[in-house]
Amino acid sequence: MTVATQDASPPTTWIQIAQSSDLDGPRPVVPVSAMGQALVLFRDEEGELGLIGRHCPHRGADLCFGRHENNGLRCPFHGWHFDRNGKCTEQPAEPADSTMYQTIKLPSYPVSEQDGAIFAWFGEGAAPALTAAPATA
Amino acid sequence: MISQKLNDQITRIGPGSEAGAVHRRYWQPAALTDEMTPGMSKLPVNLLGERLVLLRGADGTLTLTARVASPDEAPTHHPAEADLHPIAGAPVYPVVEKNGIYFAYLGEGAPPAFPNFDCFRAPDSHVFAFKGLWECNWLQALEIGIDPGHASFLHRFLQDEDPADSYGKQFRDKAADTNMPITQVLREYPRPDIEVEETDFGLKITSLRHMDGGLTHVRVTNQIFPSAICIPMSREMIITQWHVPVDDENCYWVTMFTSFDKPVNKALMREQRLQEHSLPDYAPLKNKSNDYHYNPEEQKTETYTGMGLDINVHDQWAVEGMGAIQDRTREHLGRGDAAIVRYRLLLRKAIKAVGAGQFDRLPMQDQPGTASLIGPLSNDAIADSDDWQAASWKYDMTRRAACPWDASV
Repeated sequence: MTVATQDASPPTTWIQIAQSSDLDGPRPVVPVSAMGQALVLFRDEEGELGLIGRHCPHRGADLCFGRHENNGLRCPFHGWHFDRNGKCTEQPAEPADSTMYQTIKLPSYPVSEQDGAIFAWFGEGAAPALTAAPATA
Repeated sequence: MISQKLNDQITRIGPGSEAGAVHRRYWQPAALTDEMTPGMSKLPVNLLGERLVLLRGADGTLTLTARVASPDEAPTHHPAEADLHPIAGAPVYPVVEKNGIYFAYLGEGAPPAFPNFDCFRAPDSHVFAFKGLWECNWLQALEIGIDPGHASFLHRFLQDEDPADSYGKQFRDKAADTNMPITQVLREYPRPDIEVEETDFGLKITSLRHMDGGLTHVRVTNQIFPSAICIPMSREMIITQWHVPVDDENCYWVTMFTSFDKPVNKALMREQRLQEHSLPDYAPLKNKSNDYHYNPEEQKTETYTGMGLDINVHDQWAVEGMGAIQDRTREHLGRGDAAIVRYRLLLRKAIKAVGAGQFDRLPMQDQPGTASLIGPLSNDAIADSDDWQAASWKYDMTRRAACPWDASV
């Protein structure tokens, strides 16, 4: 789903980025373009949604083809694993004593679901409660 | 992470660019000899951002020169022979045929000598050449080839094929003298130690996978400056592969498969690859427009990518998915990327040398030395961990001693 590109001022409302039904299949992972960014939306094994950067921060591989496993997304290129907050949790090709993964985080955005639609917060500060009828971009 | 300015400097290769000037000091694979069938005298070539035509004169002499082209041509546009019109007065580049490939030299001055690498000195019967299009910049295509760690993930097979069905395919053979398929070694030992050494031709890259029982898997691969790699494919064959820029956002991999044993079964090798590509531009049938035939069910149970068993498709997905030119301002390289870091330093040094007119400072530009460069050694071996260096060497020497053509080093 593609929604508004980034303009000068950050949005002040939640923005719809997908339908809940987009994630109905056996592999709930879809690309999202929003605010001029390439992102990937997925539902993890706890049923929670994640909206994180689409390109692996290692060498830029496309996480829309990531392995949906271990409660997150794993890049097929070198196995880097990301949770729904964009935090890198494993770098299985790096030496066993490496702690580099602790410094790696993808951009991520708060996501909320209501009445079959999925919304993301790209605004400044903490996301307000998702109330009825937010803007559709 | 690097700056945008540096990323532009090391990726862009058109006329007048700095990295392009480095490429133009080396012979470039311009076309397969298969593409120029016997009756033909002209073949379109799109290389280093230039629109060219390969010409075969009445006496068989080959040259490459500029052709008339519309500025909005597709990057790999392949006009019919009747529509190819050389531009009178344009520079004429020399062309040499080597074991199935026409190499061209687009630079100024005398071209460098060819090194005496295995792919060039093996007889024609023992070398098979093919190519394929990747829709991305050449550097990210090269960088996956000097990244020994990715094979444990990107090319992971959740089940191993019978090595007896492995002819002409990468990673399917048994490792050296063991009964372990390489696919199993790669899967079970995903954190190689990587050693990188500068050589006369580029880089030697050794990846060590320390296994249970005091054994080490040693894989020796090479970067051949500026755009090639030389890697093992099976116990019988090695791969020498160039990542040849078409323009800034497209490249061909051009490969010479070289056998140290039996003559190459070219009909089979060609058929395997023609099934995956469309002519005349050698575009892969699995590509971005059809999601590389991605199958989520297969990704769960059979392959790491869900894109079939052909490792070329995995590589193609990885490098095309980065975008036309990888945004290296956002990358985070790790210790596993040691050879990539080292290569970029070589390239930057070469850019500086070319800028200063010090061409003899580039790898393989000193005439007498280059022609006597042999090898490079590329192989997989499993050895006692305290003896891996000697074992890797001995393994290659055994293969070379039994080789029907002179493969001595």
